[in-house]
Amino acid sequence: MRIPCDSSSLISLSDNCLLRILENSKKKFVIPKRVKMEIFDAPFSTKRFKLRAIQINSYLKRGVIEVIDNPFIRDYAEKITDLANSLLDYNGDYIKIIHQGEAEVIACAKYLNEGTVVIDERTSRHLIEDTGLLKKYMESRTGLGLEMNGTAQKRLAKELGGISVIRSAEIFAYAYEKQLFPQYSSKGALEAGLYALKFSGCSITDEEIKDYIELLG
Amino acid sequence: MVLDMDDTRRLVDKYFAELIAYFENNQEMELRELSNRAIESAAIKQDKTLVDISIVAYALAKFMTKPHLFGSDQWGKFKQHILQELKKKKSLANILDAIIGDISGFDTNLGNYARDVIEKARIKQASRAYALGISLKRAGELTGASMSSLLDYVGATKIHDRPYTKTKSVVDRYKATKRALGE
Repeated sequence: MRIPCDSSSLISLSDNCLLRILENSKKKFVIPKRVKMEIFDAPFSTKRFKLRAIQINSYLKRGVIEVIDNPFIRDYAEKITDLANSLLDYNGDYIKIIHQGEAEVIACAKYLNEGTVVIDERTSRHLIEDTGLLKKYMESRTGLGLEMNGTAQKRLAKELGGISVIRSAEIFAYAYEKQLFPQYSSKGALEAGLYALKFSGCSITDEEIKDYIELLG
Repeated sequence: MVLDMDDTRRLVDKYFAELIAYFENNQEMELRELSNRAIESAAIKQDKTLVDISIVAYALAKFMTKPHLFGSDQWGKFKQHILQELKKKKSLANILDAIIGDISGFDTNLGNYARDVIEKARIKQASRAYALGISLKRAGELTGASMSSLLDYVGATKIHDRPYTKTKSVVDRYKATKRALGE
């Protein structure tokens, strides 16, 4: 079983020295080529993020995270990008909601026949789990009345229906519950870890963090 | 959000005229507000020129809040140069491109931060676009902000606590996690 990961989750985990959790898992993790560009190739050429790129590369070299790339992934990602970017309409123009990179993570799941993806980013999660909520979210933030393209919505639901999204926060919560790291075994460490991931960009609400502390603390 | 003009071209021209007027009159708050309106329109209309107007307006407003830049001997010359560029009879895209380069150069010479004001503007406005609902990578693509910088910035905001963000209960998501990771 190989679980596709987005750059958003790998960056959040890496920023908090939590990529080790992936190494201790029984599963393998995969990324599409475009995600590798985001977590290694692009940051490697910067002073600000080069160290993180080097750290992530050690997980790539050891095979904890594998890169996959093939025509199916690219074609399917294009199909998902086209559907997502014709989902919401304002005054006759479709809003381009996602980038092909996000769709490639979803395409990896389809290619591997895997029911889970690891994504910290909010909009992709909305697309996979609740396009109606995405519309409400965008309307509430923009103040605009948007039209939902019912055909695209149905086709997306059909394509993405069986996929579950987990975030770096869930991976950390799992490591906490399984006591994979003795130093993170206190309730305080659970809260600290979840907030650290949130501050690194993971789209988890304060309310969800409280729920996790109640559930596992 | 102001999107009362259906025609993107007219919106671009309107915002560009505002950019010149506000900069000419040292209207920092108006420039900042223009920057926000322009990126919000750009996120919906997917227009690169609107993005550039937003970035330039943000950077120029930022300069005006920094006494070591705004009060420097070189400010007058810089301002005159930018106004001349803004009023050139060239395509707006070319004018804005050149000004973005000039702003970066000015900030690199006189600024105190390793991250120049244009890079900061790209990150800030990408974060605003993401807050409206478009994805992180799409926001980065639109503004030119890197994924790493953007995540770092977004994590320090309250974007992920906005209404309609939660799509599933923690109990359900954690069950899926346990199924995926080992049980």
